[in-house]
Amino acid sequence: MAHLKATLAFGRKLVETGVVKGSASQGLNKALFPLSKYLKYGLLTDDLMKENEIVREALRRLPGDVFHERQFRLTRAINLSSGKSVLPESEWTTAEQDVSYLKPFVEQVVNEQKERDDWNAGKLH
Amino acid sequence: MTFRKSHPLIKIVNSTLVDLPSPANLSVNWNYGSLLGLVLVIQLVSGIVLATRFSGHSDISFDSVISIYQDSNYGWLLRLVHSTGASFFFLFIYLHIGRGLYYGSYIYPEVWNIGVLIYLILMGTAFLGYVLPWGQMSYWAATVITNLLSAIPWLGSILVEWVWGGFAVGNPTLTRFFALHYLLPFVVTALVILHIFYLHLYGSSNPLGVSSNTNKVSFHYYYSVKDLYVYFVFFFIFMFFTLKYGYSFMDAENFIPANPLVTPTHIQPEWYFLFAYAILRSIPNKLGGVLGLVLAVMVLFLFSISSTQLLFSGTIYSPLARLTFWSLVSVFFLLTWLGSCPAESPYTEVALASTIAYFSLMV
Repeated sequence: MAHLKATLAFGRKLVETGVVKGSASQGLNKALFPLSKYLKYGLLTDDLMKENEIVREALRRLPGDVFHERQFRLTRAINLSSGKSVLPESEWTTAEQDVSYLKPFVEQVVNEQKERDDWNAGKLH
Repeated sequence: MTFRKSHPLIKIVNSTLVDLPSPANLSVNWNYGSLLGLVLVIQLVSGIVLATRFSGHSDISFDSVISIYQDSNYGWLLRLVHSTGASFFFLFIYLHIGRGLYYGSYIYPEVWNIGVLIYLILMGTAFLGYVLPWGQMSYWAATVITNLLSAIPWLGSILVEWVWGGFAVGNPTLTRFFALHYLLPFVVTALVILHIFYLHLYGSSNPLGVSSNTNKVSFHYYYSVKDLYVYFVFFFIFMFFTLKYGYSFMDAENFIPANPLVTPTHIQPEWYFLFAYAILRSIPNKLGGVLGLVLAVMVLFLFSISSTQLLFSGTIYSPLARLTFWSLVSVFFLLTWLGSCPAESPYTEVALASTIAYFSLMV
């Protein structure tokens, strides 16, 4: 148990000092990124976000061309999936192409919701 | 407007089976739902016909099953269909739940929770049905499982005797088990209708886990024909198993009439309960074992609760999630095998480790 605690404390120190960025599972997922299945369909990570109320509002705020590019990627991916095929390897999404286009808008909506809730709760008066 | 869209009753059927917008890329893993519906109908029909020949009294129930085999027209076939149908019911429900875990279907909390409730009631129904033939395994499985209630503090022993209808498993137990076994499938049917109702509020998920609003097809002909094709394949496999290996799922002990004075050497349930049985036996404490058994299934409810916090669901996002899923499947198979092993070393230690692995992977 003492050995385990020491190991966890060392890991936390590595993160705090910036030697290692993020948690072990985040690091592992980054290392395993090329093995993710959705890359073969030309999808970006933000395309996989499940559509709840917040994400739908964020989608509504997307610039027109970004939204249409997303719709194209989704349609193409579903067409490929229904034909049990994938894109040629040269067209798979790379780490550089995997831009987070939706997350900033999602964070914006979440922050606005939080501010609205705080205002209604009287915390900001 | 066409008749199928305007008639008040037909339009419900139309919106469920004909004009329902469905994702264009559903794979065979989306067939298990309709297969489950088919097996439910098979079980209902075969069960009701069997019930016209079965007698739910402990003195004659075993003999009434023999009479079904020997005296009723195609009674042997009906009985084999009903017992094999139960195994296929559980096979498809495990595949259906596995599909849900892999592709993140738990993001629809109402659909998921009703599905888990259906699974729980199905387990109860299968247990009640297994007791009815009143063979050795029927009697002793009833004794073991009903005795689990005695682990409940304070009320345990009173509860057990209330369920038994006496001081041991006997005729009152069999009679009420028959009544409940007849009733619960109709409860399952009602829950299935609710399950489909909530599913159709959101629309089906798809193998990619992305929104399919850009690319939908109508259920008919695409998926009605696909379902019909899979029905034919299932029918072939089902009848092959029923007619050639109909007894392979049955325990030899259940061909001996129930004897309260003789305990079978190895009491074990049917294959679909073995994983839970292994978890029950792996924990040395009685109440702990019962809690482990209950939590092994109830842990599924956690998925819909935790899914509200997730931005990404399913395993397409993360190779690590896929590794976790397949590890869970391996542990499930391991637990199923361990459930059939005797409760002695080294199986007990391996079962305990597997139980810990099962809950760790689920959580």
